[in-house]
Amino acid sequence: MAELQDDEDIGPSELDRTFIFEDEGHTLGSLITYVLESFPETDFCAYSIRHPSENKMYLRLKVKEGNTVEDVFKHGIQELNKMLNHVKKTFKKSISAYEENTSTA
Amino acid sequence: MNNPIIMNKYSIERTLGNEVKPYNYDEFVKNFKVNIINLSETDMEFDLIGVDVALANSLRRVIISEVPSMAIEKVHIYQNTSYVLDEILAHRLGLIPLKADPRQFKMKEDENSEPNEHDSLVYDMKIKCTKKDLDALAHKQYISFPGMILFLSNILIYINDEQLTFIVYSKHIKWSPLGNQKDIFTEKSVGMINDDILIAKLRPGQEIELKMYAVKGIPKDHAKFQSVCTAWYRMMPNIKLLDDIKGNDALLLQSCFPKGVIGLKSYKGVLVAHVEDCRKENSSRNVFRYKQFDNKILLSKIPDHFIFTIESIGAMEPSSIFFEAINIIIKKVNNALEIALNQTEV
Repeated sequence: MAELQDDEDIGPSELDRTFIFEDEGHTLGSLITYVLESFPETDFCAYSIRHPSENKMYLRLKVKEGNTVEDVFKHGIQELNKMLNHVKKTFKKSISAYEENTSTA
Repeated sequence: MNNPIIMNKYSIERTLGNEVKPYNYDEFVKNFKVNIINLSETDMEFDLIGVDVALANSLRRVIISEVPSMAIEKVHIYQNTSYVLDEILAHRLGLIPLKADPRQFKMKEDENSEPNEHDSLVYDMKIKCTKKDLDALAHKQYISFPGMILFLSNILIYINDEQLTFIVYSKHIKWSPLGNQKDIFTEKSVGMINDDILIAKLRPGQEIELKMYAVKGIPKDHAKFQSVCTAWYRMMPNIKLLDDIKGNDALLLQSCFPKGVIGLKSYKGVLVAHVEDCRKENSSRNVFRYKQFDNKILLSKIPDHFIFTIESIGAMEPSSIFFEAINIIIKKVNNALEIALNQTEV
């Protein structure tokens, strides 16, 4: 399988990796990229779907010196988990508040 | 995040922030809000405030293509002498929405395994159009009310001079419980959502006898598994009047927007326009047609305020669909971590 040009030249390292996710697409890609690229430790983060018939999502993460890709990625997932759980909690609260309002009115 | 998207006459002006703000959980918690605008059994409109497009779009994508539901997957055709071909009939049956709550079922692991009470629902349909009944009926009805629609033992018969047809509707499909399903479900809780979906038409002597198996699936595989008619979002519009607009211009301005967007107030006998409700604005940009409004109105969109709408088919409440979607995303994200860690170890 074709790898990114840079991967062939330099090869994956502690600071730069391309992850491959099968059966995933923009749903996961844009969400992870959004969180990862906003970290100060991240040098570069982007995802691509190379070909529509190839059901894979490539996510490249490059981090600044002194960090490892693995740690930054883990941190990103933790933040995402926190964020999604907060969305869930807030939504639940709003729904019950709305139902209470309409039942009393 | 607070830079609005400005709508000009022929273009959209997007002032992106010069630097990416680091994502901060505490700030997210501070800014994030959900306002429920309306909520009914099938429809729901709510505001997601303080989120990035990435999250709003992921939610929309998951709701449309990954939230599972139940649909007829296999049809055993014992008899079909109608004009509708077997494969077309089977396809039509698959698209009928079912009331069954997908959360009460498991995904079928092996496609060819025997259906059981945890992963399948079975429906039957047996219908025959007999000439004798129709003849008697037609004769009787033709004399009294020619060309009339009447009901006979739950089967709608349409009489059009000499043409007689049984119309087979989704209400003729009957649920038959598997195992202990009889104790858990009722015909109403797993049957058809709509009773009046046309399946086929029968001429005298034709009959259909079927057994249908419904399973749980995701809409990525087939659109029949969709639990929403559709789900979408739009950004909150914002209208700013940069100058006073009075008199006839105020009336003209009001006519440029949908009803209720622009309000009029009378000051000393002169009408003055003011913005009443931005939500109803639909980005028609009609104001730009008139010279007198040049540089007087600023139309924009708030990029982190999403008006989200979910239209459920009826099997699940729209709020439950949203929770299902969030849970699927959480699962996806954690799954991604596992995959990524496996890849770094190699």
